[in-house]
Amino acid sequence: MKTNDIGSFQRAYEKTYPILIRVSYNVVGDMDIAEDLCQEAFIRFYKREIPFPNLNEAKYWLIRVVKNLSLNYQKRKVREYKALEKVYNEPKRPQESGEGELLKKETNHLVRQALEKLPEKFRMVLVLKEYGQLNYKEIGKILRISEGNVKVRVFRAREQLEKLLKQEEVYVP
Amino acid sequence: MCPDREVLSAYLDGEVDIKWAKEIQKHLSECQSCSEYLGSLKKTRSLLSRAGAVPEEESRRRSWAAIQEQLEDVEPSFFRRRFQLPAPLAAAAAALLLFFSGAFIYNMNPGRQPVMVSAPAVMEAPVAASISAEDMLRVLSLLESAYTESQVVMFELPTDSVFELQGEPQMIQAVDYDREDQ
Repeated sequence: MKTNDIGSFQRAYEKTYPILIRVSYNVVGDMDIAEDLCQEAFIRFYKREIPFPNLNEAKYWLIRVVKNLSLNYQKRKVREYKALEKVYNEPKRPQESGEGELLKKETNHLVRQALEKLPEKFRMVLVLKEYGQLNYKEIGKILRISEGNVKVRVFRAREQLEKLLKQEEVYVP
Repeated sequence: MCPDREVLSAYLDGEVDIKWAKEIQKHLSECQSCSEYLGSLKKTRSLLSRAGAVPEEESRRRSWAAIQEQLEDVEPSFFRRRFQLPAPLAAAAAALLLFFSGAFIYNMNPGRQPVMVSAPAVMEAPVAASISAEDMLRVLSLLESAYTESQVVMFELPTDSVFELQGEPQMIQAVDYDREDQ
């Protein structure tokens, strides 16, 4: 499929954008930045002159680009992140009041904080698994590792995350 | 016997062979420890899902508009690239046009008779245009006057289209390693 054909471009966009924005947001933790990075990925996709054999290969390429852009951004900002104990730029949602909602927000914040504390290779497989709706084989293609390696990393990521959540005493409804 | 926790993690993701999945399902119905572990994995998944949710539809529309705006700057340059001949190809086309055709050059300055300069349609080796000294002087005078006078110069192709190449071009001679005289 040609990346500069409007029909193919739109099909790729519709199919992959939801995955890309979820993955990017859960790496960088900022909705505006995540959108910028996803847009950058699609601009690069459009400019790419080598066509893809099919839509799935295009999807894997886009996810790989967004993953790299997001990780690079996050590394640049990590010092500021730690110093300011930054609160995530929450996606814009209708405001609800009440203790329950506050607890939910706090829980969400703690979960994302725990996710960020994971080593990069564990965090990435978990983000791709939980937010990318990808199977082990697809994750392996994107990260260029074996399926077996994906399986082990997902398991270890979950183990570590659970330990971190217990430390934070995250409320589980 | 309980399966490895790594296997239970893969089972949660639907990444276990169907035969083993049935065995695990049966085991879970009998083993509280494994059942609790799987339950904790599901809770963690649920927490991650809630914490990482984004307004996808709204974001998708916003980003599409932004991408369209950016591509409007990109598209014109791409459009221009489609209609440009690569420089070597353009140069080769121009050289062929001058090289293999007989040409008549007219000086269309009012009040002066047209100057006819012709080159033969048949080229003999070594490959070069054949032109008389008198005609060459006329060409040079035309070129000289082009700097001082406004002129229209026209190249007219010969009416007959018999083009014959005689003799072997020097380039082919130079690279022909099988030739006995080399």
